[in-house]
Amino acid sequence: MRNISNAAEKRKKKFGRLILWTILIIFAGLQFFPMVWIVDFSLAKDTQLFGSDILIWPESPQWQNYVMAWTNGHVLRYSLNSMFVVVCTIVITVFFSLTLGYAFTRMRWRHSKAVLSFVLLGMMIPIHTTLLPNFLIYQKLHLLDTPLALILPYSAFSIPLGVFIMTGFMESLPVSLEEAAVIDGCGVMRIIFQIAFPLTKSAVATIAVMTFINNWNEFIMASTFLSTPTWKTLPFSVYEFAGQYTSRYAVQFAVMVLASIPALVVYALLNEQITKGVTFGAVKE
Amino acid sequence: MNRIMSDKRMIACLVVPGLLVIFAGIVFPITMSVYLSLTDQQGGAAVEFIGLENYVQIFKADKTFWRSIFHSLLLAIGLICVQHPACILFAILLDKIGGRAEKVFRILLFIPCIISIMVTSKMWINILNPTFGMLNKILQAVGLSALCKNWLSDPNYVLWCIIFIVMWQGFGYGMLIYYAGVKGISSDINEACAIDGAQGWKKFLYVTFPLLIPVITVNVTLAIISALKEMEIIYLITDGGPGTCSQFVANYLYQIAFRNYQYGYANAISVVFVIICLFVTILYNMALKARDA
Amino acid sequence: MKQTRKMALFMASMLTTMELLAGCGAKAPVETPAEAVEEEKITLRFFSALPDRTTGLGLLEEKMLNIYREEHPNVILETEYLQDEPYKVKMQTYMQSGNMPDVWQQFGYGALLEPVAKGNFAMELNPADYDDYGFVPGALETYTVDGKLIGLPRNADYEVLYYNKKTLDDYGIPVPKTTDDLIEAAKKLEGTGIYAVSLTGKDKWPIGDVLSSLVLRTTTDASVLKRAVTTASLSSTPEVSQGFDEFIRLVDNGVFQPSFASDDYGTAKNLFVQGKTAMYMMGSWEMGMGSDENIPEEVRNNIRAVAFPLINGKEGTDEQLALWFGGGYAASSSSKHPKEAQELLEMLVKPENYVKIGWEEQLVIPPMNYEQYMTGNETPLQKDMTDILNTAKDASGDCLCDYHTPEYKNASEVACLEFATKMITTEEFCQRLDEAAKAALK
Repeated sequence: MRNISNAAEKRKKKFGRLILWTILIIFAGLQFFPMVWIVDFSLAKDTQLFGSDILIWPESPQWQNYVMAWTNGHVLRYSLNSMFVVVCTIVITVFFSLTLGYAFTRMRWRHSKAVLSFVLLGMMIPIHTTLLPNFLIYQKLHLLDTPLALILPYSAFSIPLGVFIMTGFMESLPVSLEEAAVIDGCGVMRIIFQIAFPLTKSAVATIAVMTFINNWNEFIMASTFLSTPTWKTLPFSVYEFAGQYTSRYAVQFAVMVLASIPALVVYALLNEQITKGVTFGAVKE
Repeated sequence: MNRIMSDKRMIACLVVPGLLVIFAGIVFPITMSVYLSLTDQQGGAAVEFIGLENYVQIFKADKTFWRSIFHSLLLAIGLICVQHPACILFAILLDKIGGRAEKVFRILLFIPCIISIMVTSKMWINILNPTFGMLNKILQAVGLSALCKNWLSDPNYVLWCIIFIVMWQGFGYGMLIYYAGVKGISSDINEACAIDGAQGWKKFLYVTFPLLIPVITVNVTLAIISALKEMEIIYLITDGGPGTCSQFVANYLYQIAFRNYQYGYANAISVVFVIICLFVTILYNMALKARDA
Repeated sequence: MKQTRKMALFMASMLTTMELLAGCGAKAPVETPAEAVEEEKITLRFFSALPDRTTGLGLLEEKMLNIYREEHPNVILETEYLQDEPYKVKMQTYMQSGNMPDVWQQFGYGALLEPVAKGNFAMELNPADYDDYGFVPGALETYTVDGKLIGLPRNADYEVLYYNKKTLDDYGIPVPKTTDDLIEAAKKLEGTGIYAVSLTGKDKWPIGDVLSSLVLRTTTDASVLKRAVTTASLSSTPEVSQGFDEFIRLVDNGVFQPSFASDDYGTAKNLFVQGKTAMYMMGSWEMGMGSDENIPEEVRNNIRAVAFPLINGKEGTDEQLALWFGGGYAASSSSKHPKEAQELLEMLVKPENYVKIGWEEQLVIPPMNYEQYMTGNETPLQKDMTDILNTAKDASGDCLCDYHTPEYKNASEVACLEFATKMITTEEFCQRLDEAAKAALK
């Protein structure tokens, strides 16, 4: 009797697992599909793209699409520009999130709460509302067509979210370590960068990743503030190419694949950090 | 400790530089917007001060603006009622499956978040295209030709398509946060559940869900903000059309400024938009406080 | 972090060096005259909406710039090319800030010309200087606002029906002369996977162009649409609603590809050049398709054009043509180097280069008389295009969406797409356009 019920339970469990796997596979497929699709189309001939097949069977993969995309798409150069802009933005954002976050959670001052709310309101403001006034300002300051024209607004809009994550995280940290440091005669700056910084690594990772995701693909500001190729960022590769080779759709897809690679690499490298970072940032709020 | 932590000069050193960046990048341009919104500035012509006329226009006559807000509201509801439950479900499933599969699926599910919206938009435009798109082809193949639609140009479907795409794009991120929340539930609690025999639904309802509430709170706030701010996907896929069937505020603002060249009016819209965003936050915070009290 | 940055800087400098080297290599064969070296280097900014520098108008523009570079070795051209939509945004920011490029592509529509004229951004030109350019009547007038000539037109635009001769032959379809023929063609193609006519709706204005051409087909009075739009009386003009109704008849009979309302310019064009549609309703500026090597040869060599279809039972004939001059150039009134800027502006459309090369290489229908540049080796497509132009006796101006202010343009374009997707009836559509026109007239 006992055996039978056990077997039934086992079967039930096995069945449950099967369903679990099926659901996850279907969903993962749906989410992963764009990569498959785009790689598939980037290796096709232009004539196949509008055909009746769902996916194109790559009988003769058109590798020259990639050659053309690489030579004419400025992918490398624009990637480096993007990398520079985003890395600067991340450094600035992390630095100020740390100092502001520390000031809001540890330091005692009168309008701390009010100023914090004010900073957090920045999260609610859509970046595009500042597009026009910023153009006029940067023009006056001769900042147009320089990376600073992007780094400044990107940072300004990333800091509020950074502070949001950082304060949430710091509040959950015990202060005992810092107290000990104070007794040892440590200054505030040293506490922040030698003690708090290592402890908040996960929050810092989250902030870095969020800043990366939010700004890596930003296009509308970039296209408004930049005009010469010197500082153009990665999304320009895709956009310029679409305009330049209107009847070479397959090559356009190849450019998109190339343009997606840097973000995928960053994600692959930091995947564990991202997950951990998000874990702390979200749960500890 | 107290003395060091309330050192005024130190606090100023920590706070002022960060605030300066925010002032330069956000506050100053918005102040300028407020000023410009009181003018009738249009491409290149002389600027004339017209007081609150632009605002009167928005509240009295601008149907598109309010329709865009309504669409944002629908999107927010969609995110909260469909996307988030799905995120929670998958976060739990992911936790259940365990092992190496857990990691692989976690990576796969997150991928749309890191691919450029430009790429994913292009993909959806292609999939939903009724002439050569995949969706209609599949529907035909399984004998459901009746369901084939002009997805992105039919006024009855376009908004739902957009909402679906936004949910799809943001799914991985929402899921990851909930996943973090699920993982944060300590193993003690899980063991206790196992001993008490709380499994499946019961466990979810009485243990997991209550423990996830703080995460849900954060996520819902972020969802409302992102619904209001949604821009790129609309801009790239439908540009708000046909008509205003899939229009959202940010995109509308952009059109008024750059296509109509009505700069003054566009700034007024952006000011009202900012106020609405802030209002929603305050309302939400009040609701939270009321609940906690 | 530091490492990456250093790396990035290093790579960037490497790239710059490589480019410099490449630049030197390319320039080496051109001997720079000794006196030019001593001349002071100056920089001119040039901005255009033709990012495709390898085919059609973009290729032609590039060739003109190169001629200018050769003749003016002391001038460095800083060029910027953006597609239609980002181009308009950038123009707007340039105007807002008064920071205009020295020379830029200027669209010739009221809606896009007006802000430039209002702000006095463009250099005033002397029309007498261009007498020997041979501009056709109406061309310079388009760029004349309040009696001031502020730009030079680049191409003559008119709506035609491009068709793929091979596809039509394969399915036994005669070249369509009327809208009924189009409907007939659509019936013959049903179920073949090929659609009759490519049209783009996402960009909206091409629908406006088609609607305008249809209105013109209802009457022998070429100025009926212009009158109706400029006086905000579309609702009370029967020809207008007849033309609009005809469009819906075409939609209802499946003449256009099913996705026309959401397909962007590139998609609609590609459906045609990849042989998925038999015809393509578009302006004459796409004649460059016939010389675009990116287009599969079997399609490219079979592209022909015919006059925009007539409507059975209506008065319109091939003698009326909707002809406008949408593309042109302007120079900045505040340029630091006005002489050089004007020279560049003139170089861009100087007939001995522009018309000659543009016509020989099948890149453009110029807004000048181009008979003297005919070679006798014209391709069939070029002959078709010339025939359509020569048959016309009575030319009308702008299209439906191109009048009045930018605000009108946007509102009318949005309404066009609503009409094409049957969200609004012909009557409502006319009312909407009238309202927008009235608002603009105020």
